[in-house]
Amino acid sequence: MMSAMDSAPISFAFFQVRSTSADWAFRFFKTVQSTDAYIWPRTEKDIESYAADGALFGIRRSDTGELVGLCYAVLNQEETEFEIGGLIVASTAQNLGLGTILTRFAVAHVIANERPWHYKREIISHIHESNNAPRNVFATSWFTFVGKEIVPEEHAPASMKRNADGQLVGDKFLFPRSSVPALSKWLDEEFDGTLRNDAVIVIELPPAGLDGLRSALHEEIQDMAAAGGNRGT
Amino acid sequence: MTTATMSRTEELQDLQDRARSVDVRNDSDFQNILRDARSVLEMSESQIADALSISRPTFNRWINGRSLPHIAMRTPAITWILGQLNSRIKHRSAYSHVA
Repeated sequence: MMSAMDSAPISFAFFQVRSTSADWAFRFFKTVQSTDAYIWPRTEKDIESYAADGALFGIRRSDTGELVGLCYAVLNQEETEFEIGGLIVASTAQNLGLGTILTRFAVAHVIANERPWHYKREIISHIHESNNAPRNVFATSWFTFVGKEIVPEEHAPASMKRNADGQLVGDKFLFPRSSVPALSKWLDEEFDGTLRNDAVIVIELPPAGLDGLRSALHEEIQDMAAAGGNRGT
Repeated sequence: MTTATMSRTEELQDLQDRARSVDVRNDSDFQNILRDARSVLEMSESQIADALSISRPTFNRWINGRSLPHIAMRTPAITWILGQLNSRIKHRSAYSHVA
């Protein structure tokens, strides 16, 4: 006979990874990255720094506390681009749409808290040119392909896959301001905390929470209209 | 009375008054409340950033005017600051009777 526990949906939580959990996040990142030649390696110091800065977002299983997804959102040194990067989902939690949740909430969080276009900044991401796994996540999260970028060999990590010419090439994607209405509509009308296979997810971003993000995206759309349409890229 | 001559309780109450009446649409007023909250609450940028679910660099950009959040994110931030101020004022008031 099935118990109530057996039939309970798997529950996840999206949260900001704190510095106290940096080693936990690094172990998870390293486990996935060490077997994936498409992921840019990050050192323990990198992950610690992202966590200390509050730039790391994670998804954990609510019942076991297991970390199953990770990404970061960081502003580059020139303060011109927020990069959504390091997107990984554990093999035990694939096909639930968690990569999409991580990407979209990281983007919404940047828009709400940083108003990037107001400050002439962009939201971008890089994907290895041969890495097809996250491509669909970015395409369905309203990112657009911008172009290819060859990583200079002196900066290219040895662990990453080269093409036939021996080059490490990344595809650059942009989240254009004109995609904000689509993200906002998804957040308002489609996202209800349910995932595929009856799994559910809670968004832990106090104090503004989900309602704050929704309202902030509405404000961004109003700002776009006031500025005379989609003048931002 | 200048901040330098204020007692600790007066500092907390002064910021509480200003936070209660702040117009969150006014960028500089919002920035000033955040900047003062850090010193009056005696909290680091990281501690406040964690509480607001933002990054430390984001908080730093907010108080230095290199970016500011949408209005929807400002009111919850001010509400959180008021909560911190209220609990500190209550705590001081409760312990002020203890000799």
